Amino acid sequence: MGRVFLTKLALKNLLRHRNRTLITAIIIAFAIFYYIFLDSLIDGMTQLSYQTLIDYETGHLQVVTASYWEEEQELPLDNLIGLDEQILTAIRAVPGYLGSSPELAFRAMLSNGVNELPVVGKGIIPDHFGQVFAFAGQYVDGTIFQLGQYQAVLGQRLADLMQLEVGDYITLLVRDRNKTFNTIDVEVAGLVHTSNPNVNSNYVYLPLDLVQQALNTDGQVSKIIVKLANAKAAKRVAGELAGVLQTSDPRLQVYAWDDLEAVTVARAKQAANGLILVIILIIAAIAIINTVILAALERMGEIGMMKALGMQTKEVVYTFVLESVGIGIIGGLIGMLLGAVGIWALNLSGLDYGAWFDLDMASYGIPIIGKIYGAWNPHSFVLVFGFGVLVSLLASILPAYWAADKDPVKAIYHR
Amino acid sequence: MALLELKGVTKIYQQGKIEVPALRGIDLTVEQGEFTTIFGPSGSGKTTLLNMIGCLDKPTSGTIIFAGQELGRLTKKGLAQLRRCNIGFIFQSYNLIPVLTAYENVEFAIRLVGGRSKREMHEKVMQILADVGLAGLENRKPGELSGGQKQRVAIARALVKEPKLVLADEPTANLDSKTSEEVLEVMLKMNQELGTTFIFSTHDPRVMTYARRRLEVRDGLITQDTRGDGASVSH
Amino acid sequence: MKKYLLVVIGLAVSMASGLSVFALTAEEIIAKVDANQYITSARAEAEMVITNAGRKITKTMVSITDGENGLTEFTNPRDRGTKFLKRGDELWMFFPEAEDIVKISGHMLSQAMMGSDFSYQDLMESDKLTELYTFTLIGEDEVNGRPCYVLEGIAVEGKEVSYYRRKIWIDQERFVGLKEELYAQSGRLLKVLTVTRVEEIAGRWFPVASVMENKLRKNTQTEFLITALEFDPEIPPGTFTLERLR
Repeated sequence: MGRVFLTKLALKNLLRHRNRTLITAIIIAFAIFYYIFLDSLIDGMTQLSYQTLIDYETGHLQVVTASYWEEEQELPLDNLIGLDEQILTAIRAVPGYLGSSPELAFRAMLSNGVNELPVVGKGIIPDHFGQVFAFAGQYVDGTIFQLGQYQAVLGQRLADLMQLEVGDYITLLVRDRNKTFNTIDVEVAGLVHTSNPNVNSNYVYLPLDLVQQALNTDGQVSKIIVKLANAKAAKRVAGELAGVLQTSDPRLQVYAWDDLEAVTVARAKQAANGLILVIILIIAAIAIINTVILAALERMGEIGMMKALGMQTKEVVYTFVLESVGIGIIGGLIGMLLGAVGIWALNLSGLDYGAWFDLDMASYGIPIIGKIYGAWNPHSFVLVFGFGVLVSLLASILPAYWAADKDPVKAIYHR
Repeated sequence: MALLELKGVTKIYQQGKIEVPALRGIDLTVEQGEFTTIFGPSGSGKTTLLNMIGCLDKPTSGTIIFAGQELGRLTKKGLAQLRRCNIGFIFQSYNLIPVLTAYENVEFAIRLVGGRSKREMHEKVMQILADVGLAGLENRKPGELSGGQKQRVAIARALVKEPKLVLADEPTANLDSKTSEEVLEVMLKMNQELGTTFIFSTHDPRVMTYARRRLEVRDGLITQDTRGDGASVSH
Repeated sequence: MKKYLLVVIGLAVSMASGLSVFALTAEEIIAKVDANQYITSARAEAEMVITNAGRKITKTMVSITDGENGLTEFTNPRDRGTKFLKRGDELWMFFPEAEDIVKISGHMLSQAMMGSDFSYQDLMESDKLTELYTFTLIGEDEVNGRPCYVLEGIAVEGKEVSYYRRKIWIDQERFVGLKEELYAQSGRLLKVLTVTRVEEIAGRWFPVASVMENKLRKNTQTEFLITALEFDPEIPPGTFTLERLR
């Protein structure tokens, strides 16, 4: 029996039952749209969170000693790096180098004279810092300090919590290398507000020389953060740089931003996306199976006649499967169209997650504040479309066989 | 050689735990070119008999030989093949494919058989449609045709592939008397011109008058077998 | 805990007329005070009153120590069942609701204990003061009418100590610390400890009530009162184990 003929027959059947075809297609379309939209949203969120990390905390590469990295939670003052010319030269020589910022991080109690709050302090060199991080436009008030000045920069959130303004004085209670208490008294020089909640609420930035002196760690830093022109190259560059640095100091290691725990956790969340896919497509499968059975029941007489005339079971199955694939394709196309419209709308104005739910997204481990935009993932479109058509095909096979295998006699007299 | 030979054919249906004997031992020979009716009360087994003859069903016991082939030996696929090439069906409920036009419904049947060029098939379809009096209505869909016209399409479909045998189950049941007459005339014409064997199952006395052989079936057995010339055959 | 178990080993200093008080060197004075800290074991019941911006919270506890290790259990209704175990250099805390044991280490040690003005680190320091600081006798003063030696201790280079500089007022007769000022390396005064009452128990002079002020926070202080004290109690074996902590 000509494939062409059967195909034409299938098409005509689809057109005949326009409503049923359309409804089933729309169910599938929604499932596909949902996947595309969610995928885009999650991707948008992830990219935003990566960017927030890169632009404000981790840069693209971090040069540390391996032992420091393991203990980083504690912010110890051991296993620090000395700012050797050799190390700095090697760092500046990496491909795509845009800037590097040495940093000495420490724990401190921030006191405004009345209250105390635990914070993380960072000793930085202002112009280096500016090369690597995106703080420039984020000052709500005041400016950055210079080396040697007794000044600090902190987040607006933190300042509000401690009722501080530019010009106020604060004391940081710290412990030096020998665990001995020391205090650093500085004036608030600038307040920032960024999309990174850690920066806004937990960090206090100070001149590096001041910090080194207070902690008795002269000439040393916890890490050197590097910015590259190409984020994707980070892992590769990290490996190469580590090799070079280890010839002068074997303790050194270089970590790319995508090696970080926060990033790998975010990737795991994307795997959960796949689970949603499974659920959604179960729905599509049920819709298809339902449609095929309904169609078969309606066309029992025809099926019986066709078999009486000598048509084989597999040829009957072919028509049904083809119809289902057709519905899958139609649904897929509509779904992709809806998905594209949805993402376009999302990108117009962005989704202000925090405003909607009045949530601090940081408490979910996602460092984002502000608007989320949708990401365009052509491969997601193709993937879910193909998946939809495949499921339509597979889901229709069994019910088609059920319909086609009926005894022609019974089928003809089926009422 | 006879077209059809049934020997000791029985058919028992399982309805849950109950066994229902539909045919209880049929012996029958049908020659090529016959115009025969099978009549009897409903439930007598005549539909079952027709299905047997039409290779749609296999007997519980006994043999059926159609065109020299023993049906019991054939697979489902084999039976389908046999039907496809040799038997045309006309049912009470027409069973036309609603999405196809009259032309396409008839074409369907001849396409299934294959083995002919496109042009040949086209000619045959147009011819048979003209023969059944549907010239000009080829592009209408079943929804646009009257009962009689639909039945004519069914007949055309049954005949287009020039089968050896045409089985018709109550073909006039849904038709008014005038249309019934017309339809029967067509079938008779086919029988006389092409030598196609026709076996009807019917209540309709009009059909009976056209038939040259009449078989009565009661309780799963053939109880009467009379020919147009009045001669009876015992079973 | 240790600091508050200063014991005067009935050293009666005979105030022979004419004998100048400067006959004792800083080292000797501190040695006597240090010696007092080395008790073998004790059991105490105590009360801690935390005052913060006018609000007072009272916590009560029971402690056992054997000199090296200590087990403290809180007995006031709010914190009942919370326990601390000090073993050598390690500090563990048990939360009754979570049935969870947490080790307090690293930066957590600088946190305040139970909201008071004492940090965990303060409680952990058990090495002899003489080993950690170099003391100089800088003069004499009076605290609550009691004549005191005033000693200044500077942290020994390379030792891990919390307070770079300590100024201690020691009762000249009883060799018990009556006041202590704790300084950061920058010179900033961080904490002040004042002993408000001492008692003689089993031949030893004891600070029974003291007050700790955190100078970086206004309007806060913590009072520490010992309500019962027993030396060399019966300590069942396995008292200072993690299992016993649950």
